[in-house]
Amino acid sequence: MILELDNLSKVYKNGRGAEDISFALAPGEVLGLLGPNGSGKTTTMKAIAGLVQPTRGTVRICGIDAVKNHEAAMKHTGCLIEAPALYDHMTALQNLKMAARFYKGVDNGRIDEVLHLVDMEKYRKDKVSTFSLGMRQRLGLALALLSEPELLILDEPANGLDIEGMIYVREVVTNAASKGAAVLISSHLAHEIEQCATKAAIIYSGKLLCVESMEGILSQSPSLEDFFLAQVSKTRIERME
Amino acid sequence: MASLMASFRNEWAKLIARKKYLVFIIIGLLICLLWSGLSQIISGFARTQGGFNINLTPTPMTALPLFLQILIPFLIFMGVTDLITVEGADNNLKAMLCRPVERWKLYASKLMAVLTYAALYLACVFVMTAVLNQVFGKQLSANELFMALVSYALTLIPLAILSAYAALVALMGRSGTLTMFLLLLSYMLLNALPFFFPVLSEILFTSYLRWYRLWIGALPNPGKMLHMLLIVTGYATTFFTAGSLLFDRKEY
Repeated sequence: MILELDNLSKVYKNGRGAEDISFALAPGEVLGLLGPNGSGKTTTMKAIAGLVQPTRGTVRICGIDAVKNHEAAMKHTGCLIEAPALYDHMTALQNLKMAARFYKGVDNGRIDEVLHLVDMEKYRKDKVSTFSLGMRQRLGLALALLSEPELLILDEPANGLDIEGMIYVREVVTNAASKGAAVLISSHLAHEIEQCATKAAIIYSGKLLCVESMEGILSQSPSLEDFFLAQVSKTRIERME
Repeated sequence: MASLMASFRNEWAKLIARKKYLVFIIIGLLICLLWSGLSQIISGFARTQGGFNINLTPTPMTALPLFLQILIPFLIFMGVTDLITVEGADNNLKAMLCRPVERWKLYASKLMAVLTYAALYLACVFVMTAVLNQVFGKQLSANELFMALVSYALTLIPLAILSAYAALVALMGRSGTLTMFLLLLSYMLLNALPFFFPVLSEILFTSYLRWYRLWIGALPNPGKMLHMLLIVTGYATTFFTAGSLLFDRKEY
């Protein structure tokens, strides 16, 4: 398994967050994390990437305990969480070079490759402060893909992208999975997840409602959106009772 | 070690990519030039008026206190504010936190980058004042230059403590402006306190910025030297450990 979460919980002081999240991702699998705003998708991703300390539970990336050995676990991981973290006063190339320094095999050739992949070669020497939201998102994707990670974590990667950009993200995800990477992707948009994920996990109010294969979901409901709405309504009714 | 060095190179690249840091080095060099120019005017005037010779051209040793007490602490505060508080507030720290590097190494590399900048600044001042002295002032002997070099090198230790203190404060600040305000205010207070309570001058770490004076010329007795070293080590350990722990627990 590339990613294993076992009862991962992160509860903030205000009581929100994510609780008892457990799932596993094998090479080539794409898990779509679907949930409304504030449901705990980003918190789960942040806990995996070490941006927040889990309250309890474990995260294993390629068999490495990511909480205890962050450095080793992150060698296998590429992340784009929330808005891309970019240094505005530096160029696209400088941002990529900084990230590249942490990986042994990532050279200038690979930087050119990812810039080409996200269609940003023309802007490599431009300062990030001059970029549009979509360009920033593309550069964020390039940063996540730079080390050819075995685990790719993408939080709302289509944010700010136009139609072409959204199709492009889908291609990036399927390409990474076809090369054996495991991809964890979150979105509000069920149809986006439906088109690229092999599995979907529905998260609501910080709780994981279900993890199902896409075939399983589509055999029960006409679409992922319908499945999601059915799961959420069922949970609401159960809680009211 | 490789990840620490990679992180250090990144922090250094981020720091020098901001033009203001280069501008401050130029300002430092201009201060030396201006000082030298003024001293030439004054000595020329003195010669014509009274016929006596005075030389006020800055030497590495006369320039050191000015930069060490005012400009370099200000630049250290600015550096840690940019690399810690501003990055945190702009949500940019994630870019490095998601990379294969332990948090303490990331924190240490930020301090190393700021200290390297301070060392570069001191080196520029040293070279500039030494050259100006050779051109306009009295020729400095090799021994004088060596002692000045030792003094400059020695100041890096208290500057490292000051950087660690500033980084600890920067971790608590929520905005760059607030952090700078807190740092400048606390620095002024720490410098003012010994005037009112002289006993504090031996305890406060800011007093040790001038400690190079104790190491050149006649050395103090071994007991006093050990006492000083223990205080300096204690401050360095406390500030770095506290900052590192706080940075490790911070959530972004």
